[in-house]
Amino acid sequence: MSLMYPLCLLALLGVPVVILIYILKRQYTEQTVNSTYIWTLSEKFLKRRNPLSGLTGVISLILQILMIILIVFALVHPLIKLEGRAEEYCFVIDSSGSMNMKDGEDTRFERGKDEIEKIINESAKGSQYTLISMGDSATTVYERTSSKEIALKLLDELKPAYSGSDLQAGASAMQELFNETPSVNNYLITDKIFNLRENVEIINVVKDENNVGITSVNAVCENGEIKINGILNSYKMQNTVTVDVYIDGAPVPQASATVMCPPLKEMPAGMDTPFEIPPIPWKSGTYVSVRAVIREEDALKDDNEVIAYNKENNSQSSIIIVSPSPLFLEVAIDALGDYNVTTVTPAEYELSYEDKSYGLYIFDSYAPTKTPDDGAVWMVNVTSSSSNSGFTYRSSVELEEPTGFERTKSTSSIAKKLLDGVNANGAYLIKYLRYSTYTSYTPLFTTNGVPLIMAGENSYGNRSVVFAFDLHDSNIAMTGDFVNLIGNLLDYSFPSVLDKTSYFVGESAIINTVANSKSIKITSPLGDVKYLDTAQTLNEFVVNEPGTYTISVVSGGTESEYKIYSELGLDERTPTRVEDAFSVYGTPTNDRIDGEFDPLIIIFILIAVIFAADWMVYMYEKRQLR
Amino acid sequence: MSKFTINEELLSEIESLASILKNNVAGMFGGNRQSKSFGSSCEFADYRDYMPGDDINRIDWNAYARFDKLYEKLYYDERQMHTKIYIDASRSMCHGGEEKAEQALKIAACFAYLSVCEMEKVSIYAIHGNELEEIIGGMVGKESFVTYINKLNDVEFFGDSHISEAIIPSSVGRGDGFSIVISDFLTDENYESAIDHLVSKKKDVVCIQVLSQDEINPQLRGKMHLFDSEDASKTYRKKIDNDIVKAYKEALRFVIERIKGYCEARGAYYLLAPASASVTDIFFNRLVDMGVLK
Repeated sequence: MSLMYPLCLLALLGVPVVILIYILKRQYTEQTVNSTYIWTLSEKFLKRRNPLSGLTGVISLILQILMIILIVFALVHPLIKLEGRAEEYCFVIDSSGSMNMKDGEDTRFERGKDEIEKIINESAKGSQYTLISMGDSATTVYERTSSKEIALKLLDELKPAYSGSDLQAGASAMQELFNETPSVNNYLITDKIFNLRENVEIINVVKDENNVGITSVNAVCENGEIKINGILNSYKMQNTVTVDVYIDGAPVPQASATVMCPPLKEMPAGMDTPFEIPPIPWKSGTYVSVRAVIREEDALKDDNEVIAYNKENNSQSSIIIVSPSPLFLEVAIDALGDYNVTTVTPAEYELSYEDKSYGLYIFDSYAPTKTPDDGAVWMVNVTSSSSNSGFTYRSSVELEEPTGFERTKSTSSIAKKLLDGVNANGAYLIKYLRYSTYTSYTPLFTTNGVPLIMAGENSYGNRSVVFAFDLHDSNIAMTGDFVNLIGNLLDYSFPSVLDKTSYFVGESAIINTVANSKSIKITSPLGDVKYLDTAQTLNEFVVNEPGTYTISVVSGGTESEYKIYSELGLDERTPTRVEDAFSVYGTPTNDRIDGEFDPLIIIFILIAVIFAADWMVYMYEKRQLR
Repeated sequence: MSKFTINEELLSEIESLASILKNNVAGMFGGNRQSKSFGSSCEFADYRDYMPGDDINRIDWNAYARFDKLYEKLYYDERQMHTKIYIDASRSMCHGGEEKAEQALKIAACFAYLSVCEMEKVSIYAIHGNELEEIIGGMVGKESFVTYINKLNDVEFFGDSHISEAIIPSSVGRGDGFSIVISDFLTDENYESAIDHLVSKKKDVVCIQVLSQDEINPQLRGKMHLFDSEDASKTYRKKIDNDIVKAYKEALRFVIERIKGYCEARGAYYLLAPASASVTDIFFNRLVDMGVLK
């Protein structure tokens, strides 16, 4: 037997106190009366008395002492060890998105929790419980707790995820526990069917759920109308499905499609059920979002709508070239598309353009005294240092003979992205400049180990590209790769916040950090908020909830909002999935652990009985003395 | 400080009462009380043959005319009675409150007044131990009553009292009216001898038992160690509960019945006068009902 609160034994001091009170109460009250004659005579008339009458005081004392002892016993909360009466349980509950399917009132996940609760409640006191939530990773909710209350409370608080389920991680966690205690009772609570299982009891929580989901939706604006189509899937049976469409948040009358959706298993491999909304007149020529919603209710609501957000590019595309001889750059940029380019001489820039704002500043053979802080900056052939440029000019090196460009061997994502389609084969130069960098720059091309073209960030955190040579001292501007290089560098300099607006739950979304970003806030569909590091050029975060994520970017004093939509994973939409195996390997034993018997209820009953008995004695005595 | 006060209205009401003597009236002096012997009162009693030497004024001449024989008319004699009131002046009569003592003194005063109103002589005694202490002796007439009755306030209640030992040796008189013993009779002392003695002296004995409310219905409960107010060596130690109180009441009833039965067997009167009872009730109801007064 163990005592949970042994310090409470001090309350036994109440026993001597009660005895002291009893002794004090036993004292006879002395009193003088007119005559004791009748009192003495009354002895002869005293009939046979109830034997209890003379013992009420002692009985009351005994009962009160017993009650104090029992109360102290309850306070110290003894636990009586019952050898080999308890067992150890390990529950792995599938927390994947499919566990949110609902049949009637409860979801599969809730039914699974009910099953675990039932096993815990029926288990012997002292048993130990481990609960592992198996989502996209295995999370141990609690391990070997012997408190039913804690186990049930944490179980109650457990919520399902929307991602897939990492069966391997769940099995590994269970295996680890099994290796330590081969007698553990393993339970897997899931909606999947396993062809093979070993040392695990699988509790399947599947009911006859019917599910239809939208797989994708596309919208194209052309010729004054908007065309919307998408893909549906029915996972259980044939359904007639009606899809309603909302454009920019507003319902569009008559914009719906009703299609017969055969069950996926009856479709040819790789085939889906398409739906197409009749073309909708749309004069604005663009849209913000198109939302497609299945009108009918089914078991899983998380896949009943998809929102396609139009990829917006809010970056500034205005360019200023400050150069005494801008020909090469002008031609290359002009060849790449519709950029708003302003070309000025250094004198004109200092006179009239220094205070104007541009998305990209290209300084060729000219170094401003102060590096602009409101956009990306390219520095070409700069022979003096600008403040906050991230580098300083050191020297000029003239080569004895033309030397080729060496492509960087870096495998960094930025290098791969900027050198995509650029080799600079056959390009050479006869003179270059040496710089010292004090911010982060990635060399793209070098010669003799000296960076010739590098990309990175200046002291303002804005994207910066440095050409450590005069374009006129090289033939690179004449090569075909030059336009590709300038294109990649322009993409780098004018980053879109979003590369794409549609993801599946569990995927990593990429957020580009635009120039001058002060903060990037991500708000999940369920309202969780987190901030990304604006010092990083690229940020990634895992979308783990279905629905719309809102990305708020504060840049240059203004806040811009972008949205991406996260769809439930396709695997999670299938009501019944068959998996190969979920096994725990090893030879189980029948060892049992010591159980506990909590006599608290019995103690409380005894206290109540003794209290009642004491009360009856008290009332009897009171009646006798009335 | 006075132990009792007499309500004048009560006294004037008491004047309307008259005591009834059962025994032969044998007072020495003439008075208001009609004797069984023949005397000189106005109330006709009987005839007897005339004998020489008889008062010729009492010859009934009408009877002579009718029967031709001289008959002497006899009249009842009237004697003055001597009411003796004995008050138990032990400590038990006043311990824990003077209600019993006050009641005893009130009853004694009222009896005394009733007697003086009937032109009888009244003596009041306090019993202390074996002694009788005369408080008022031979009081006659209302004026004397007014003069002396305050002496009752001087009665001290202390020690114990032995009724028989005090009364028997004293001069109790013979056939001359009431002997009233006022006590709580809560004793195993031999008070019966006193009653016997008084009855044998042809006194009309009235035993008045004065009990306090606490004695009739004790409120004591719990563990008690009781000491006798007259004799501290007499103690009673018990946890007093309902059973004990029930036994107490039975014992009290036994004591009351015992003295009552003893009195009735000897032609004496017995009256239980709770200290809480009003004197008016005692005199106008209980004593009248008992036939002591009318």
